[in-house]
This record gives sequence, structure tokens and C-alpha cells, in this order.
Amino acid sequence: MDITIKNLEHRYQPNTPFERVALDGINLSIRSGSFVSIIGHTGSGKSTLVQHLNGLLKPISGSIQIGEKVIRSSEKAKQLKELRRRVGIVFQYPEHQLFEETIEKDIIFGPMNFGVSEEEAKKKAREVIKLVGLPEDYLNRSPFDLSGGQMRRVAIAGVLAMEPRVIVLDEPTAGLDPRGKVEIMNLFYQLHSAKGLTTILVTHSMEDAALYSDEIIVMDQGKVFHKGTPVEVFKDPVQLRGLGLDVPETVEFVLKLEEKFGKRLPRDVFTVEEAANVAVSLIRKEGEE
Amino acid sequence: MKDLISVHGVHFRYDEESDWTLNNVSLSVYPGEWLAIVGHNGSGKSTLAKLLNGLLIPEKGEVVVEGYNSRDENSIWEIRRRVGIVFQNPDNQFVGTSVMDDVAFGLENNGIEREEMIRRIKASIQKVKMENFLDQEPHHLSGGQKQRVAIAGILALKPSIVILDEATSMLDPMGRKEVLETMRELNKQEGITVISITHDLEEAAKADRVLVMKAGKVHAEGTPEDIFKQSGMLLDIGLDLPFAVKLQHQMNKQGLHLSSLHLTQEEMVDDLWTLRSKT
Repeated sequence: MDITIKNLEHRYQPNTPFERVALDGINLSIRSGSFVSIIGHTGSGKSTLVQHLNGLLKPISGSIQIGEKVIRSSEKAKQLKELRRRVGIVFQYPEHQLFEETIEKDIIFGPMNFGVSEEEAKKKAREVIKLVGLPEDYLNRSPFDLSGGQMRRVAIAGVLAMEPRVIVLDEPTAGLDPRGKVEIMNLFYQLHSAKGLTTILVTHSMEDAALYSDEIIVMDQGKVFHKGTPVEVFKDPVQLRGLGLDVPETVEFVLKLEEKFGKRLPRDVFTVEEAANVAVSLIRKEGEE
Repeated sequence: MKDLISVHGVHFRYDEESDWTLNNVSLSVYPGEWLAIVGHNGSGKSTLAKLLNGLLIPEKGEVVVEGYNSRDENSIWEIRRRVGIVFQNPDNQFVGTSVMDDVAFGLENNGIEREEMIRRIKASIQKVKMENFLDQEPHHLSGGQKQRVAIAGILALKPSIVILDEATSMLDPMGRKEVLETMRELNKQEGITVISITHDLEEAAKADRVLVMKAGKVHAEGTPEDIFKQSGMLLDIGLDLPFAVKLQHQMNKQGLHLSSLHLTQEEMVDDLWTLRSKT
């Protein structure tokens, strides 16, 4: 589903002395099926922006179009139901939202709320539990007997069971150990590719943004500062650092090599392999000279 | 060296029916060091932190901080004053309505008299470089700034040890740098002992000593070089390697061998430069 945002504005506590502009003049278009990351310092408006995508927040002015559906400030909550089904949000620490006595009940809660029959929803639960890499016989267990990483997978399964076309991930790996982080990001990337989802990732990890995204949106003080491919966004380290951000460690390494060797090197380097290639070929070339 | 904290044979579990969260843990913390504690989710790292400042008491074994045993009720407040913890979420630990109020909170609880209080507030806010924000409300601060205020609140109580319990994991890249640089200065200049519980292996690589936890036990302990040499072990228990180490493995595969293991990008770039001069 294509997403088009026009002149979106949002204020917290409007018409009070505490009024604060959270989003200001946001114009964006996100292509159906693309993987887009949103980066920005804390308080730059990332989470506020994504909460508009499934109607959790309504715009003060401006509009958001998702597929055929347009949301404006006048929208009634009821009209947002279909949208909430189409746009799934995985919040930070989603495992805190688990509440049912079995994993199955937790997963079918969402779909049944949207009028899917119990039988259908259970079928869906068997499908999605495997998608998130947990065995089917876990369905009858309590979610609270699982490890933190596994609980997070159950929470994600609950979002997938609604069959969203757009999935919004708000810092989905926060608090996970290094292996857990890689596993969860790989899981999202596989789902993204296999199901043709539109994926929107809010992250503080420049590495993840560089590695997975077709495009990156840079937010600053409630505005879109920049939008472009990872290569475009990460080519100006000074500017990014001024915004509280940074370049991925691979690019940082290339920049250090450039400085030491006084040479211009390729900067579209986002994996360890690519970074090693740059260093190895640099040394070999220097040897030939 | 004399221990600042001695942990001896500690067993802890959250309820009597369940398995040990910490199973016979012994370790020492030395004055002035930066100790990184790493481990998979559920390995017992954060539980250990709470035992170190008397928020939790061991079921068996002992935690002794500068001579005060946490089993002794009269010692608990002495321990809590000496060991401060900065937690993960900056928004959950800001209690004041302004930076100054927030730092004052701990002092008021400890019954420090007013003049001394004002002196300490000013001094500790200066140490974290937040003096231009004295009257700011929390929502005007970035995540990194809030964490620095939390550190100032601890400093005001004149602690010996600051524990960072994943204190940078929710921050943006610059916020993370700010907080770590602030702590490094305090560690070097004020001699404050730092225990950093972290998933960030780049940060652990810069510690004086690294402790690896696995399933409630101390699995390995040593200098960052000792620990990050054992790449197979680290990957097996769900951890990872610092970027520079991964990069070096990859270069080895491509036939480029460096003189020794490097934990930081700076060392690695310097070594590559030396290699170039030789060829």
C-alpha cells in the first residue's frame, strides 16, 4: 500500500499553555513494498509520526493516505477500524502487552476483535507462530513462561495474525542481546520480502537503517530533514552528528581510512565484508604503487 | 588490590519454586576500574546489579560493599549511598520538575542540610556539564541529557560506584556518546568506579575488565583482549564481537593478516597504515 502524507501537523496538549508542536509540515510518500527507516534524535517526532499511520493519533491538520483510505483531523474513530487492521504496529517492548493465559489466546485476540471466527483465527495462529520461529506446540503454553526474546516473538505473531499490509516497527530490538537483535531483524526482513509488506522501521541503529532500507527518512525537530537512499543519507557525517545521529560503523571505518591514507574511498559500505574489501584492496593497491 | 565490592557465593531467585537466577556467583570489583558486564538476555546481569546496591538481598552468600554487608539491615543505607544505579529508561527516573529539583531529590531523602545541599547540587550538575539547564523541565531535555541528570543525582550523594544498567540502550547515537564520555571523565578524574551492564560490545571493548555472565553464572572474566579473543565462546552464548574484531576476521579470510587483535577502529587503522609502509 502506498502511503502519502501531506502537510501533516501535530501538537500535544493543544490550546493549553503546555502546547507543543510535535510534527510540522510533514510531506512524505512511501512506495508500496518498500523498506523505509526513520532516524532522528530522541524527541525528533519519529514515534509521533508513526502513530499517525494507523490512526492512534489523528492529525491536527493535513492528511495521511494509506492505500485508498485518507485520514484527516475530522475522522471518526470508527472509520479507522479497517486501517488498524491494515497497518500493524510493533511497539517498543511489545512483550509488555501480552496478557492472555495462553499464547494461542493472545494471538487470536486481535483477529477476533476484527470479526474473524474463532476457528479461522486459530488456524491463523498456527501459521504465524511458525513464521516467528516458535514451535506450534507452544500455543497452549503461557506466554509468561517464555524468555524475553520469545515473548517478543509472540507479540509480533499477534500483529502478523491481523494480516497487515504495512508493518511499523518502533525500535523493535531495544533491550535484546546481540543474537536476539540479529534474529529479530532477519525475521522482519524475511517477512517483508516474502509477504511483500511495506515496512517502516524506527531505529537508533544506524547499522540497521543502512543494511535493510530502500530509503531513510531523517527527522529533526518535528520536520523531515532529509530523505534518501542509505548512500545519500550517510554521505555527510558532520551534518548527521549535528542532528544527534551518526554514520554506521562501517562508514566510520572508511572515513578513518580516508583520513589516514589521504585518499577518497567508496563510502557505500554497509556490511563487514564490504568494509574488509575496501581495506584489503587499499593495502594491495598501495603495495603496487 | 583491595576489593571495593566482594560478592561471595551468591544465590538468588525471585521465588522459592523457581530455578536460581544467580547460581553461586563470586566476583570482586576493584577501586577505580571500569568493569563491563555482558551476557545474553536472562543471564542474570540486571539482577546482579540490584544485589550490588542492596535493592535485592541474596538468599545464600554475601555482598560486601566497602565493609558493609547487605544482609545487615543497618548497612543497607550505607550501601545504597555508595552504589548508585542509572537505569535504562530516562523517562522513568526523572522525578523532579526541573534539573535542579531532580538532583535535589536524593539529597533531601538523605537529610542533607540546605547549604551543603546547594553546594553539592551545583558541583554535581557541573560535573555532568548540565549547568546551563538548571531550571529546565524534563520534557525539554534529550534522552542523553536526562541520563546525565540522573548521573548528577547520584554524584551528589558522593558515591564510590556508579552502575550503568543498560543506561545508553534507549538513546540516539550522540546521546550514547555524551553519557559514556561523561562517565569516562568521572572514572578518570574523580576515580569513580564504574560497573557497566551492557549489550554494546564496542563499549565493553573499552572497559578495563569484562565479566561474561551465562545462565546465572560467571562464565568468563578478563581483559577485553582476553575475552574478545574467544570469539567462538561469545557467539555460542548469544553475544557478538566488536566491529573491529569482526572486520579483522573478515580480512584474515581475504588473506590480509594484522600483527595482533585490535578492539577499536583507531588501532586497526593505525596497524593498516604500518602495514602499508612495510609493503
